[in-house]
Amino acid sequence: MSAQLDSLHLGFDDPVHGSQQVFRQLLKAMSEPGSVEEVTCIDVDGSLIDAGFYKTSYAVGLSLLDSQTPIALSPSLDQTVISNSLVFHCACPIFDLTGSETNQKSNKQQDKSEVEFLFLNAKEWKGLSKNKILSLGDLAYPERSTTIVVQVDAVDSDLLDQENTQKLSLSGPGIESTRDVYVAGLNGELICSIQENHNAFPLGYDFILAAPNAFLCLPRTCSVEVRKISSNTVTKGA
Amino acid sequence: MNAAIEPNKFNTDRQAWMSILARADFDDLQERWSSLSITPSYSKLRPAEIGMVMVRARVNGNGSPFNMGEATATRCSVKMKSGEVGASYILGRNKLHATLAAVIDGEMQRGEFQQKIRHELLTPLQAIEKVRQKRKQAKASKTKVDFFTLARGED
Repeated sequence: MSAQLDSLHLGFDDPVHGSQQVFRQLLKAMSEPGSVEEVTCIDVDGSLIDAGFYKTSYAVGLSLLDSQTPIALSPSLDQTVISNSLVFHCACPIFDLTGSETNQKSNKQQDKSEVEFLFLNAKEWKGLSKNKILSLGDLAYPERSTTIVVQVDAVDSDLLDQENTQKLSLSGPGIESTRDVYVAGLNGELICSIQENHNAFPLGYDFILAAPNAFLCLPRTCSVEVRKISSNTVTKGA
Repeated sequence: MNAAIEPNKFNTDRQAWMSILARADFDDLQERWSSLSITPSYSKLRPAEIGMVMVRARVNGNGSPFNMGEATATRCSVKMKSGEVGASYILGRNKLHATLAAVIDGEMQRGEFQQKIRHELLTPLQAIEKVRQKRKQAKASKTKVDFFTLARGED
């Protein structure tokens, strides 16, 4: 273990049950897109918060990553405390957005040019949708696409009292007719990517929108329309 | 951390005490530790977990290494309140032993009680371990067989 030990964050108090609980929440959020899941089984202290990593993203990482899942961290999240903690608890190989490995854990050169998970802040999405380290999967193996964990300011099923809130109307498998969710901190390009993403089905990314305390999922099956909020003037073509 | 001062000396020093802690008899270790009445504050970075390690050996102690077999091992990492990370890897399945060894490792790095722990815990344990090692060697050497081939003269 070559991770530097003096900047490590604790994982789940109870690793087995903690990761099972978050896994179950992810399963529900993926199968019923737009259902908001609150993460309660882990707390993070100042070091991760200062690095800008939400406990939801951390919990998702701790639950889903292992030594077989290469991940990428966006420039703002590529910080020692985040990468060291993920490497310590999950032993996952970490890459930057150009595809070069950032933690020198393995001596052998990774021949994998695509990552299975990407963690980033919403504002960093600019121009990333065609990045070569992201994979849409291929027709024989559509499940090999990249899952993208996007950190946003807030997600809720009720109207949020925040300025940059957008109302998304979701439909598709797992939703009876439509389901409305409110997300704060998305930007236009990201919304476009999420909408286009649905058109590529069965290929496509799966998005997890992680807010500081809760997350929701927008898998590739989900069709997303942006709706007008009565008190707000934000409208985007569906 | 004092590792910054003399990393190499710190590392060998630490290796030595981690080894003593890992080899010590658990009941003995626990008794001596509680008699020191140090109450460290720490949180579990990686709670004790049981796994397997591959034991490698060399024929006659100097051949090329081969996989001798798997052994059960338990490891644990704790983070002291002051930030140091204590770790332990022990043979067997005793989670309490692994946790205690990690805590003592963390406490040794922290430094406040380093001399006390060294004198009252590590040194006696090391002596006990030395005696046990010697006894084991003596027992093994009695059954030692030297293999050699007699010259057969044909070639």
